[in-house]
Amino acid sequence: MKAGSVIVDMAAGQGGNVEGSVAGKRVVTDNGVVILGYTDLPARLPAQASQLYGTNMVNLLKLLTPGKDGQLRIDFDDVVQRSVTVVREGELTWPPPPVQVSAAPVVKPDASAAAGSSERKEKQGLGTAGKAGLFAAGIAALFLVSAVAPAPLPQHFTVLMLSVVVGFYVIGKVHHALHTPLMSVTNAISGIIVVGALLQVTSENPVMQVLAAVAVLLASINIFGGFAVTRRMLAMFSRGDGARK
Amino acid sequence: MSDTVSGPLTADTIAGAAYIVAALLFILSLAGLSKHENARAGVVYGITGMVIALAATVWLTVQGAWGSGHGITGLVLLLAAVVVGGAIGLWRARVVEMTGMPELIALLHSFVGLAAVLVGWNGHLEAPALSADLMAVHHAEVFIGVFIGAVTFTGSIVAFLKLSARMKSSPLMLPGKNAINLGALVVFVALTVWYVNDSQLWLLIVVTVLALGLGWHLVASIGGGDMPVVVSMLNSYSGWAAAAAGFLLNNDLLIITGAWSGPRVRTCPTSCARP
Repeated sequence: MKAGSVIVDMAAGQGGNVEGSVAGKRVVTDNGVVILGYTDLPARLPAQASQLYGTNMVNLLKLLTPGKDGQLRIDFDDVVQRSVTVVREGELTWPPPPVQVSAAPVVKPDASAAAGSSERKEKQGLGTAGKAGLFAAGIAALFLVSAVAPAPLPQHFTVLMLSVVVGFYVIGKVHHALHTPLMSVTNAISGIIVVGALLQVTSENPVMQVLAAVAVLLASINIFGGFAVTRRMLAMFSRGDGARK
Repeated sequence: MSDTVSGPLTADTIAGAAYIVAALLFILSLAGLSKHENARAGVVYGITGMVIALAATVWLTVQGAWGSGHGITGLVLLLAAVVVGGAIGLWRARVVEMTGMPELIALLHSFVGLAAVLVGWNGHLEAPALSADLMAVHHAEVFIGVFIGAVTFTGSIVAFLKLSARMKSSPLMLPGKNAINLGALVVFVALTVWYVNDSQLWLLIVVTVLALGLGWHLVASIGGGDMPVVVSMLNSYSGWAAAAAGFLLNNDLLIITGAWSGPRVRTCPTSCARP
């Protein structure tokens, strides 16, 4: 990169995306590229925001006092000055007229927005009702199937349901940056289907044996490949010391 | 005295216990992966669980097969398949570029799908001795497992081809594509009913072809930019395929691991997009 370029490495806390970034430090490389590895980026924002806000206020005051003598001179033809005035000479001037950005789409948005919002409300209403209906139907279906199904099935449904709930809560809390490793691990775990194939491989039917062997082969690629890839990805996240946050 | 100890400890009960332990380790693995600090421990849990599950299953298979001719053939096949598959998997994982990761994961999903199809087919060929009720359930399980597996298989292949730019990434626009997808589902339900009543092999072949076509069309009609979301969806499908196989084989471990698939879709689309 050119000298003077600045790289902000937002992942510095997790090992970094940029070679040479140091968590919490500003690093200048030999050829003059600055790498910011700050891990407290949100905490650095308030000062910046206050400064921007202050600049805005100064500019507004400059606009309101064109004579630079501390006397307000409000020009009602100026869009900004008209819009910030609430009361003038005892007369309420709020709300200001809509700002005329361009002639055509001034009136229309109001009508369509109102219509749109009411439509949206209706849809949402239908959505919640529909959701409740679907939920009830699902529960009823589960009940019926479990009540009718022969012996081993209800037990399997119990296991399935509990696992879905466990999975929901366990996976729901995963850190964003870890979703790809998570996916490759779940993928490797999906390779557990190898268990099914293993149980079939010693069948008396040679066709079954061959099919099961192919299934074992495929699932093995998955298991070994999945775990190996995950390890590689995680090694990327924590360079050197794994204990660093 | 020794009888009372060794009596209840059959290969089946040992395998069952091992499956429970493995399932717990898999849950810990996922939980570990939710934070950076313990992500590596999570992977270790996952690998340990997998080793336990595999060891128990192999032990069970060896117990059942020892001594008979086809059993030995099966064990040799098993060993060869695991060694070759493991070698290929490790080799691919080592050489893949980090930017090629989504493609590799998509390809791996297709393997789970194909394995599920094969397990389902074997479920048909095996035809265990069951009561009429259970036979119907068995047939439905075979059919559904094959269907999900085949959709996952071709869907993942298309996702892989699109991600690796071997196929045009623009969405395939067939007229009435929603009708095609819905129609395929309706045909699937009809075929399932038919198959449950009369389990013919040709019905299974028809549904496999149907599902292969549906999987292909589903993903081909989605643009390349949305592939990361599709991959996480397929990740979920591959889980459901494993769960269906679990129902088929009366194996709770498969059901448990497969059932985590639902929530994966929920969390992934927003952030899995970043490789």
